[in-house]
Amino acid sequence: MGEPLLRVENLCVEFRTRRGIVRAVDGVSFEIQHRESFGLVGETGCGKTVTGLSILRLISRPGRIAGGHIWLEGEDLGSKSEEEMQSIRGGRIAMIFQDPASSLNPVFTVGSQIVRVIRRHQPVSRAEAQARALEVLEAVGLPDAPRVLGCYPHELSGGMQQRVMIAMALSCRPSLLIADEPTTALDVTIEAQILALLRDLQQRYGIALLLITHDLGIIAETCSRLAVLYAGRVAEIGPTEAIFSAPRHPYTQGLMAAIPRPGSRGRRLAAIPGTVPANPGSIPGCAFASRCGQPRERCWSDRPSLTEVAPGHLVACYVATTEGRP
Amino acid sequence: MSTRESARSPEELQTQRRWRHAAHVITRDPLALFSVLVITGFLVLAIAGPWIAPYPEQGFGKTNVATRMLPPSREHPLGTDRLGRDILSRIIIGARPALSTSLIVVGLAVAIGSLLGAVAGYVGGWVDDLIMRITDLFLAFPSLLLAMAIVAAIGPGLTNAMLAIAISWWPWYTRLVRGIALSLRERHFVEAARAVGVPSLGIIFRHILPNCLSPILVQATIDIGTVILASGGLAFIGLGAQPPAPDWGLMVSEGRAFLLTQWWYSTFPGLAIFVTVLAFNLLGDTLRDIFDPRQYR
Amino acid sequence: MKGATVAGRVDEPLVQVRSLAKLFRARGDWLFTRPRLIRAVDRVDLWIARGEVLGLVGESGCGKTTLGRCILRLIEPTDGEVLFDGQDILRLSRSDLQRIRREMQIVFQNPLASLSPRFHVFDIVAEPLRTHLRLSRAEERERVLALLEMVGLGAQHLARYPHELSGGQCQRVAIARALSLEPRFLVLDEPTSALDVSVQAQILNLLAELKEQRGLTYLFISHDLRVVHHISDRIAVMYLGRLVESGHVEQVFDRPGHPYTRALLGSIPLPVPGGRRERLLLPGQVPSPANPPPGCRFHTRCPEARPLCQQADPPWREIDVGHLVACHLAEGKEVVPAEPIAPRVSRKEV
Repeated sequence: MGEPLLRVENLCVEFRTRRGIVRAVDGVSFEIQHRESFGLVGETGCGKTVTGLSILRLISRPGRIAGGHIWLEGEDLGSKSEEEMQSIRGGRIAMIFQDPASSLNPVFTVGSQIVRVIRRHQPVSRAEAQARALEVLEAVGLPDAPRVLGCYPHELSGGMQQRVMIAMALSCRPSLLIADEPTTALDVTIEAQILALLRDLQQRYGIALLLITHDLGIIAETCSRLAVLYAGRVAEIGPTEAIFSAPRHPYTQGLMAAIPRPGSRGRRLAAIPGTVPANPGSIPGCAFASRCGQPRERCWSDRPSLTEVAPGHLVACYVATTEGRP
Repeated sequence: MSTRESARSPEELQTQRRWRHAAHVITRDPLALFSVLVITGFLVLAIAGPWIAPYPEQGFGKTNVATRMLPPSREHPLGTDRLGRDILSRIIIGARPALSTSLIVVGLAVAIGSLLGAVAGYVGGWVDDLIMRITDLFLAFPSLLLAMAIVAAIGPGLTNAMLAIAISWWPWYTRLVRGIALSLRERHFVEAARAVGVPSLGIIFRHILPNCLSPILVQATIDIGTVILASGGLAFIGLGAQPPAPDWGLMVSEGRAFLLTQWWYSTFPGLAIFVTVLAFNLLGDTLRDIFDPRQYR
Repeated sequence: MKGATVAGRVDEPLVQVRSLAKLFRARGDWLFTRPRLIRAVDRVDLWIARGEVLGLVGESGCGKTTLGRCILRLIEPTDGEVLFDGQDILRLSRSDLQRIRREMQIVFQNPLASLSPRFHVFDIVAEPLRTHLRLSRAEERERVLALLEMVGLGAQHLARYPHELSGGQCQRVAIARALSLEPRFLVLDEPTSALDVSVQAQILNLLAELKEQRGLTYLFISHDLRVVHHISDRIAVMYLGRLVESGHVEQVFDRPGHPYTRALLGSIPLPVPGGRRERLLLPGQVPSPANPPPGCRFHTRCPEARPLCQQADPPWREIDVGHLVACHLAEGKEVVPAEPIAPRVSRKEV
């Protein structure tokens, strides 16, 4: 497949807290190909957002990247200076967040904020930047783009604000767009619009997408490959079709079973008992063992590594890899 | 948690954790430790002053012509004043009125101000409008000027000065607490309390005021310092405590004329005010950390 | 479809809401212009049968939360009636209201915010008991422990503060508090939307169990159709302050009668790769409730809008037994929505 667009290898991120050092991301590895849409799914505290921020080196104290490498088109981002990173952020990699209202500065107009982003990364005149801003706003499907250019963020609805954020992210033609829960704060009908827009832009401009979300449904209809994170580790990674049709990790299976679906009406949902361990980094074995339905002896002592169960489909589970389907 | 812990009542557990947390907050931060030590010392002086002071009777005002204006020495570590009184004794004896004044003033201001603020913020409507317009009226005056006007009207003296300062002080707490109460009123736990039928007064006392505690405490401890300063200021211009009361502000004022020749006269009482005020300001942050259950470990 | 068939209109519903309206005042644009009125809830009629779960669905700002609060009279409605067990709670005196509040409780969306940060779990659950009952300390402790056990917590949680609990545990505490006075009716306002799916499943199971054990009646407010579909018996869909459709879950989900309901259903992200139901992307944004469009409120985004939709309010039509739709395009006999079950109360409906 050649050099992937992004390669994350054995990423570790630690946070210093009052209770000692907590590992939020504990050896995460994955690759994203050019033009691919890749999903990172997991529950609160699984380290998915921290992983996204680490790619842009946006982890600040008390957190730090404690280990691992991140390569962007073969360049090691860990060796970049802070200045070089600044030109990568928003230039080659753009990121949008869950809450568009707080991502936009309330005292400047939408237009001036987009123009500033464009001119920070590219040597263009103000007029050219303005024209580009109008172009991207139209590209994200905002009706009446010239008017939106002069609007302040609070004058726009949540869905429009997120479109503006996407426009801003697109304005410098990044090769990778990281979208961290981009629709969680939005209503379902607006969510559907934004997801359709992301799919469309990804195909139109050939941007790779890293979609971070807790919602398997969103991944299913947007991404071609995904990784399931649990407690800072990759539990399962592979093509969307394969994982959805035959999830192999007990955690993935639990997540899928916990979603209410048409057939589950009136029945008990298969909830995963217990809660996520507080400091999974200190667990010697599998982080999911304490909630797993059938943990084996080794699951408590040895950490399972990702093992291929089908082409491109890797699972970190002894039960799934050594004994077939659990 | 072990069964041993669950055998105790939640109240006991809570108390135990609160003390452990308090000890942790105080010992981890040198400034907190400093403030707690200074204020403990201040409290000891206020309570046991007459037994500690080397010349307690001079502290209360007895003059001694033979020892006028002596510089610091072994007998009088901080020197003597123009009536021959030992300044150290005067400072020690003066701790009690300084403490009681500031506690009473701040206590009054907090009690009136936060109650009105909580009522205004929680009840809202015309009650809010009425309380806040009165508050604005008071706030429109500079507080020390207002206190001076009140004292001038009802006559100088420590009690009147205290009353005057308290009257000019409560509106700040009303403002502070109303703002918090307004935001708390919309919070779900207040709504939940209403939904289970807790009456308004219960909500104000059990849900609104306790959650205003941190900012009130911070403000109040800072204000204790400010009140010591303000009453010193009133005494300084002759509207507060009257001689021969051992008031720190009064002593600074008396020594002012001798600042260049007998530097110790004003300096040591001034230093006493400075250290105490500083310690109270630092205590504010310490207390906020101690009383915040979200920081419990 | 118990209670919904023509002949089966026997039970008096536990909750009956008639023509309920809530207007909020917003400041006018200028100093002396009149305040603008925001119609958060605009003449809503609904009923909830005993032991039933009514799911109330809609997007943010549609007024579903306000409606829930008005039914409990946590917010004072501007107009209308709310009959709880035949009593109009909007006309109750303050003390009668306190008494009836024991019968109806609420659980909020954000579990941490709905618990007082300075109370530990014991005090949180004990507060309603202390407010309404005179219990000895031993009795109180026993009751609190029983309640916690019922929601799957134990004695080790008594002295914890809310911030020391996980989101799911906080929500369990909130449910224990709501049940402490043994209510008959619960308003659940997005009780699981702040939780992870695996925890959401735990809480949904718990709510279903409690309902069975104690014969509770729920008004389940949510924007998440998957959750509502899972737990509800009947569903009411709300858009811009008005109900647009109501009926049995299967009727609404399998044969949605209103274009808005169809769009909502088409927007659910399904955990099936590449598959949505019918893809029906709604254009545009939700209009502001301060300035709602005339006629059918949905016509600005409706793919099937006709000229008539911009002029006249759509009437309610019964397109199936107990399945009501407020749309000009629907076919069926016109009905008054509060009347699907003939109430035993003798009031005359307009």
